Amino acid sequence: MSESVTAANLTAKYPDVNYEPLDTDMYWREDHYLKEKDKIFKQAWHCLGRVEELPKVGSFFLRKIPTFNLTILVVRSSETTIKTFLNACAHRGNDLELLPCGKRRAFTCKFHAWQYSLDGQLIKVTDEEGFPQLDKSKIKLHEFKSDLWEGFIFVNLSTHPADSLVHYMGQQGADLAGYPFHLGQTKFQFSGVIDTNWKFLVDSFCETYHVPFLHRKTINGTMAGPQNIHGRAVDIRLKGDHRTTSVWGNRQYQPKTVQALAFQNTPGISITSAGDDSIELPKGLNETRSPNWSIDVCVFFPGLVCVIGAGMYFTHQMWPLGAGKTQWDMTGYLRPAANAAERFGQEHAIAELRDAVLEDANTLERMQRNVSTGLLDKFYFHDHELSLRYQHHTVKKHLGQL
Amino acid sequence: MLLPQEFSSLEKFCSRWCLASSQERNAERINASMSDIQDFYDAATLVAEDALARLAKKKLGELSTEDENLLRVMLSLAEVGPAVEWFQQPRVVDGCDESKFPMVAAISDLDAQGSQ
Repeated sequence: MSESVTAANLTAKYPDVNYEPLDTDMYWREDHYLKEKDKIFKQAWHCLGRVEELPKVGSFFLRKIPTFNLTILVVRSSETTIKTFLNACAHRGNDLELLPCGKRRAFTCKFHAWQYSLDGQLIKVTDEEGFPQLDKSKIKLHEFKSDLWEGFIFVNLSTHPADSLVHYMGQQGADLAGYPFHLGQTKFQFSGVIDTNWKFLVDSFCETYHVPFLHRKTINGTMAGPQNIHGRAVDIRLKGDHRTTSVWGNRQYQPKTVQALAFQNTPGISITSAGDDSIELPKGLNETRSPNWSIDVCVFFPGLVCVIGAGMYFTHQMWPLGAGKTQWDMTGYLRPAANAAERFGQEHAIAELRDAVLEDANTLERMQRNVSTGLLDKFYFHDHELSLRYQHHTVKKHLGQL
Repeated sequence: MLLPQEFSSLEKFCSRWCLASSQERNAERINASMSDIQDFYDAATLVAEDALARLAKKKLGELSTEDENLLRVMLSLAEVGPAVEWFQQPRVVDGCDESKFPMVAAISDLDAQGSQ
């Protein structure tokens, strides 16, 4: 192995974690999933979008939370306030807002025209005489706890969240602060339902041990290749419930013809060209300051994976629908194209990202089918699959099973 | 003429590869034969450097019809790039079906971006 490759001794840095094979029940048993839903997802903070999506007072968007089959109305109610409501009229529960996004002075239900202010207060009842005992001032939309981190809007579905958002984001959040997330104003999204456990989906982006094989035709040349034949990571760091995998980058990679044209016009926005030096990185990105770095994969437990490079970032949000079914949303945030040639670079970056994750996705339903037989009672994790091992550990910790 | 005159060598590809969205370009790629993709790739890469140099001087939202068409043909080149340079076939090798993980929000091909 080349000297630029990290040794297989990362797990040993964390005394809570060991090298034992791990049981597989949590990847397929429905009863286990129901506990995760209640004790993990119901308590967690969930990312809904960015403040840039709500530019003016009255701007709103709807966001579905598939795991709990509910829709949240996210509103900028004042210059400095963003609120999150269940998108349901208090009268008899009809959907309140029907448009996916827009701008309003008030929200009016299409059923009986009850009307609410931007901060969720009931302000108008049709034929109010018919409700002799109703006190409008006491009726509001159901509001969730919400807060901001680095311009991302988060919600917590619990009535009394165990953690504040800043505490929940913890050291990993603090170490990423200052990254120019706000520059990623050009957004794209892929979404689908995959017959796999949510943890398998998270795992597929947290180890690069598979890169020389599963991605041998695609990202192997840039994230592994001849100097890193086993696909070792640069570093893996565990921080509270969260963890970051720093992915290796081959600085000697010679791009193919169309890749080269894209990289020239838009440096650093592709997964195959991400490790450029165009910005000063916050402490938590490429924390070891390796010269052989491409991107960091930062998991905020349970289901938010932020993939961050110097010139682009994207998120994977995993919404479990059952032990063996997950909605997977992949949202990319690119810097606005300054000219028409940069639009070409964006298109190429998106095509490569999509094609690479389609390779990942094909393993997921196969693993699920096999583990669901109940015949594979243990999984074995490589030292550089530490992030996966730690997810298993963190799930057990939250369920009181350690 | 659909394209600026100096890119007339790509005129014959416009009916197929001048498409209106990322989703349409991916659908065209995965339904095309590899020889059709290779013909388009070979012709487009011959002039792509000049085409992108021209487009680098133009702002999105202010393109002439010919430049819009040229950009869209170049966006198709970006889409078929991985088919030639990675897979040597139209679709991802042993990949998940594209329809299981579709693009649900695309970037506009032609509109200006950002809060300008």
